[in-house]
Amino acid sequence: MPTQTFHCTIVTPTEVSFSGDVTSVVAPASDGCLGVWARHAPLMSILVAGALTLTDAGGQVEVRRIGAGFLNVLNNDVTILTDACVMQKP
Amino acid sequence: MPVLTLRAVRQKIRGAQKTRQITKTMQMVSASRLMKTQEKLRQAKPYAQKMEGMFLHLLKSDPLSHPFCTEPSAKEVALVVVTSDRGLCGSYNTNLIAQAEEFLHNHEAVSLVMIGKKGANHFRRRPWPILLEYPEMAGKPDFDRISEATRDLTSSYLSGKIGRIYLLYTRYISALSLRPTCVQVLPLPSGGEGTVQTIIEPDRQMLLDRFLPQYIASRIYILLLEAAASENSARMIAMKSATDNAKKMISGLTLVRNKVRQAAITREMIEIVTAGEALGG
Repeated sequence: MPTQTFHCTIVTPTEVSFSGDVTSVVAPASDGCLGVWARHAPLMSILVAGALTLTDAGGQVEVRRIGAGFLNVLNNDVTILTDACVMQKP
Repeated sequence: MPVLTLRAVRQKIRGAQKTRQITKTMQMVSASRLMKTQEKLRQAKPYAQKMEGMFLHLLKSDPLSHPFCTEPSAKEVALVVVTSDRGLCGSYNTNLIAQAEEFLHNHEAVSLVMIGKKGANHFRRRPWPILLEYPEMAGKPDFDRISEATRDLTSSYLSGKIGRIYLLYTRYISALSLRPTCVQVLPLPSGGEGTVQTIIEPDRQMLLDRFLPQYIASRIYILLLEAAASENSARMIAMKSATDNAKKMISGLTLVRNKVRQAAITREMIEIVTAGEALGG
């Protein structure tokens, strides 16, 4: 059975850094990593600067580095609000 | 009409042409700045909308009991007045300052926060106290500087120095429709339906303390970007008007110059003819 996807958006004050469907998001919260999969219960969290991992429907994993910010999960839609987001150099 | 020498008319034409060059340039620069500001606004809106979304989520989860969401005890009201730093923008500043004066007339105990030198220069001579001033911010709003300014405002609010905070800026409805608008910055609505059960990490109070100031900053950022768009639009229109007026002046003066020149030629011809006849031609 294919893993369910949900929509994830990463926004900064100057741009929309990411907008797409993913199967999971792992975000750096203040007391450890926070993992979100489809149909997660409503959630809000403070995020600290660190690595953010996105996994898409095809299993491709993308790692980005974000600044401090917030995570908002509501109605199977995830938003990450942060002051900066850059692709992690391999 | 006074008799103008050819040289005087030519000088006037040159003056008008120089003016037209300057106003035309300023018109084009303002048009380009307007486009850039609108682009910045377009890029900033998603962040502001998502911040709003998260705030609404908070309101739905539980009534917000936070100093930012409760009616302040301080009676002193703060009005943030957004004008421009530079002039030559038509009635942009005068319209906004007129609205500010009306607000001051209708409220007791108001303190002012000035964004933009034009407003600061006006209200310096008026009896209301100026709490804070932010020059070099109006034309090019910068998110980090605005976050700092928001911290100044929120700490004054929390310390009880000021109560309700309002912001008066020029709303950009279209290039021709610029409207001074007053919005309330603090206190925020406190909600109270509690319809959504939400998990909050690490805990509700910490999230509110961290999130609410950012939320206020993002709101103010968008309003200031709009004000910058309005300023550039007003300047573009004022400079276009000045350019068109200069062109009309040049046309009018050119006609005068031609008439003066022809009158001078006619005079010379008459002199030559009469001199010739006198010599017995």
